[in-house]
Amino acid sequence: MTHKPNLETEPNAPDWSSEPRSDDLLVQQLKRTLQKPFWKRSLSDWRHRKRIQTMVERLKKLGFE
Amino acid sequence: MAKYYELEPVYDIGEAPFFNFPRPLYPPDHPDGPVEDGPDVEVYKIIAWYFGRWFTVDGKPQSPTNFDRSYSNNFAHGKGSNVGDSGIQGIQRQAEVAGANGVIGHRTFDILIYQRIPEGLPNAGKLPLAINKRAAGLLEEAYQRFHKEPEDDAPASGSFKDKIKAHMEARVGFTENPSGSNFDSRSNGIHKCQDVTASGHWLDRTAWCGSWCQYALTAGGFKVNSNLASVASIEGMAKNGQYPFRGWSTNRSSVKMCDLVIVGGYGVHVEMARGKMNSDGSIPTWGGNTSAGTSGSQSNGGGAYRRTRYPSEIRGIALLRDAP
Repeated sequence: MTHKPNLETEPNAPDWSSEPRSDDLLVQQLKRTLQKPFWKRSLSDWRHRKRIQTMVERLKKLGFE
Repeated sequence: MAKYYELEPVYDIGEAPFFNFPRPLYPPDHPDGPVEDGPDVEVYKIIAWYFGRWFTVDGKPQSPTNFDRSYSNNFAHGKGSNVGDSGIQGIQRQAEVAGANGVIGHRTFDILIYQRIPEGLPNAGKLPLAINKRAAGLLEEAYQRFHKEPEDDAPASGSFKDKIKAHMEARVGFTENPSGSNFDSRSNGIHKCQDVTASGHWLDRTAWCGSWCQYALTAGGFKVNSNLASVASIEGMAKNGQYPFRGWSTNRSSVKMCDLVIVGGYGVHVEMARGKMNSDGSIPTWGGNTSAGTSGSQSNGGGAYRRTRYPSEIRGIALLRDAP
């Protein structure tokens, strides 16, 4: 992210240069769900495994991981 | 030499008139430029001329002349290496303005208005606009012409925007519990927004800025779509005109209440517009998973707050359809 606030007109703009990308966080959290050992998976994790995989794949294609 | 504490204090600060700031000015080579010609540009040229920074010979202002009203690169950045033609950027450098770039915002405006004419120049020690009433009049004329009051964007009672507004306002100040968990135990808060977006629990404890917006859209009658959990997917759907979006815009003036504003970069953060663009180009928003101010994390701050996003923060706007 190459955000550079305009100091003249936006002296109070926050600095985004070190902010995490929400989609990176999302992918990491969903991957963690997929990698859980089977005895730790909730019913929802089992039921929606395909949807989680689909979303992870889509976000990977968009450049997030 | 006498120390500063030995000097007699001087309380006579003279006349310090107040002037309204008409608008920011950007040079043509700036991403937000060029700007429309106007009387304010003529005023700034007159002031720069008084300061010995424009239209001078050997550092002295030439006899009064008619200045044009165009905010050119030459005037913004200076032409050549001559101090007497260094323009706005020369004034900014001398005033030690951080990031001097020829853009006129509030800080440079205040310098132009309240800086006295330097020693060695005609009318030294005086305020330019105190001795030039015509310029002062032109500045007010520019203010009347260019200043825009924020338009009233109040939604009609009972409309889907009214419902979304009520939904968001009721949740301002919600925070994660425990902190940093992307989760809470409320029946109508962060956990709920993840469940609504997922139609299940598979988005529990994940980044929730997109889900926060989806939850509000659902309150307004829009159908659930789990893809809205992803900021990049929101941008992609808007660019393709996919439901619930009608398009994508990088023109901030096109924003309306309830449009989704992508902030910070690609896939970084999303918030929902609270209304139309402000006169300084910023957009008021409701944000989820952000911080209350500029000090905490903006894209993973853990709370839901009203924010105002500056032009340089905004990547684009996902324009919402006119009906669910």
